[in-house]
Amino acid sequence: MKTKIFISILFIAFSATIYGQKLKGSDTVLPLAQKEAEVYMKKNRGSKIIVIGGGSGVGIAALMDGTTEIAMSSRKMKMGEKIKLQDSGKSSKETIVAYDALAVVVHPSNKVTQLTKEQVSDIYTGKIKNWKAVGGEDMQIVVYSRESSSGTYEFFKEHLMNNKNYASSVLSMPASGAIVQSVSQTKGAIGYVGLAYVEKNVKALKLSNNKGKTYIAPNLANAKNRTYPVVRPLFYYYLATIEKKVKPFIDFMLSAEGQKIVEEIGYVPLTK
Amino acid sequence: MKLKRKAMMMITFVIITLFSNYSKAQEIEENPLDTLTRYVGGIADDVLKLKRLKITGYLQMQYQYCQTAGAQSYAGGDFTNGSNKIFSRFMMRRGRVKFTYENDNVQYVLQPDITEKGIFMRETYIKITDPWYNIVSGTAGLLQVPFGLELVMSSSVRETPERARYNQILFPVERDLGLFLALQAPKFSFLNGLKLDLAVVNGSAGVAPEFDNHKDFVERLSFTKTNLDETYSLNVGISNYHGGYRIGNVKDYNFTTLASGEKGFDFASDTSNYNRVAKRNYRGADIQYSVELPVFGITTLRAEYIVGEQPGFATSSKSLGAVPNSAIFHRKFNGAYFYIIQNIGISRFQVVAKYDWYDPNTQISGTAIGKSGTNTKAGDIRHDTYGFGINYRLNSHVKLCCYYDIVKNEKTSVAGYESDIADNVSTIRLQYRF
Repeated sequence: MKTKIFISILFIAFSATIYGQKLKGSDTVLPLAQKEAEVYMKKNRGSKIIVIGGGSGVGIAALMDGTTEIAMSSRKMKMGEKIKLQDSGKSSKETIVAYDALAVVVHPSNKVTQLTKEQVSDIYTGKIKNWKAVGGEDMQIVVYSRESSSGTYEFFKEHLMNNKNYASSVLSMPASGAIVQSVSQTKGAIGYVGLAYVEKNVKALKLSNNKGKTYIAPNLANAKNRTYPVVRPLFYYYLATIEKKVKPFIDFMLSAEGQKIVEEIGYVPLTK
Repeated sequence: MKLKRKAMMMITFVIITLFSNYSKAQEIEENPLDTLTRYVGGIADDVLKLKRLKITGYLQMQYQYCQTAGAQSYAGGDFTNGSNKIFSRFMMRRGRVKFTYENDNVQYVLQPDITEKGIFMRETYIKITDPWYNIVSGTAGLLQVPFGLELVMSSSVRETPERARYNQILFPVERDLGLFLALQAPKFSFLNGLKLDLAVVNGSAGVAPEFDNHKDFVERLSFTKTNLDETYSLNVGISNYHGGYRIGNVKDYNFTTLASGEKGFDFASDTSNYNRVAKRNYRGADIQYSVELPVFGITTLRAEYIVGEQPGFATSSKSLGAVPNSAIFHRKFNGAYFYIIQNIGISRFQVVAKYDWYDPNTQISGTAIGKSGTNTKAGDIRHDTYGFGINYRLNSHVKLCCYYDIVKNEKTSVAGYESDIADNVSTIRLQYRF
């Protein structure tokens, strides 16, 4: 009997949250949105915000289906998605909520501390297969990437690989956390993650955008002043018809307090 | 004997009762969270199974008004009902329900069309996609012929009520029975955006069963590209259809310069040439460009051109679904369509203009058609169609379309086609899609 009552209470509580605000999409944006929602709910008693990952594409599809109020995305909405949305009699609004710097990470024991964009591209296209070729030990490179459905996957390909194709030997991982874990456990590994995912168990490499003249470390300061070469915007998409409903939360995120959280979590705040 | 049975029953009852009590005594109070986890886990498994089955569909109800009662039309079919001539009608254009069951990269699809005309099977197939890269997929069954852009576009998303006239004549129900193969370059490849479709089909005009053992081949190569800012997308493609049908024991005619000096059809062979193949060869090129303009909204331009040879009867060049029962005429044709689609800002309105032509016999035109001794008839007349419309998308389910078709035929010497026939059609269509 007790169990039944407990389950019923949990179900009622769960049902209540369904009627709150839902954010769905990019795994890159996920930790940021979760923290923002947590602080916002504390400040606004009675407000309910649920944050779910799944990838940028999943979030945008949910926006079309009407199963989320805000789609989180680490890439711009595709043309095909815009047409589909308009065919549904809907129109969306786009807001950049923060920036993310993409860091190239290796195992902490790796001697290599910096790479040029060209070297990164050669590693991911399979042209360079041994760390020796870039000043490291004689050790085979184990290359990790995100899955092709990920916005991060596309951004990395466009901005660091000049749209060249990934080598077939590249290992696909379902989430950024999984890349960090794999790289931390494999001596010859290389991977890429958002700055917020960089932990002590991996080493983030300095990158050069000018063929080795200067190397820039992937940190908040360099991302903020845009000297670090791989910085991308993070988006929220919502339907124009529900702007009133979602605006308070978005405004909070864009406020000084919200942008402070952006920085705390490891993302790059919007410059004013 | 009776006593013995009663005793046995009593013993059984006592054992069951004792065992039941013993079981209760052994039951351990479960942690409510574990119960919930188990309960939710069970539901999740059930949901996963249910998610394998997808049911989608759409219904199109429309009212149409034609300038002349009984007019032949490609805007939803002729305005006749048996021998009755009509000019005003309500009709159910489509009543589709699509069942898709998908499990482990294998899809089973069943799609009937249910309208006041009856129940027709429109798609039934098994599709297998390679589980490693999702690059190759093979399909067996009844589905759309991969030729061009408009043919494979569902009317539920198309901006105009009907396909171009040539598509309706060359591919009467857009589908065919056979084997289909699709190769799509993966995202990690520099060829990303490139797609190759191959098919071998009966070539029996869609849902009709095979009638001549001859198989048709279809190839399509297309490429899609979008810019980094996602403000425009471009799709280009080329298609080829290589097929035909055996003409049985009917006579056939080739187009040539006749002994009289006129151009016309001449007798090609007699019935001793039994069962030779009348060629159905088409080649096409298509392009679609969509661009997002600030304030104006998304604009789409779509165009396709087709050229080839098509055998048909004297009065129609429509692809056949059965062994021909009268003389076959071999014709060279061309056709094209152009769309311009403009979404009105971020509103629910969209305006569309379309022009298409179909010239079933490019070797003759105007009043030369129908001249005595040339054997040219209604099946050789060119038609140009101009269409204008407005769509209102209430939500992802409901769409209202108002459209007007202006149909112009060539002025010929064929009786009834000396001048333009009044066969313009107005259509108001309500669509529900899920």
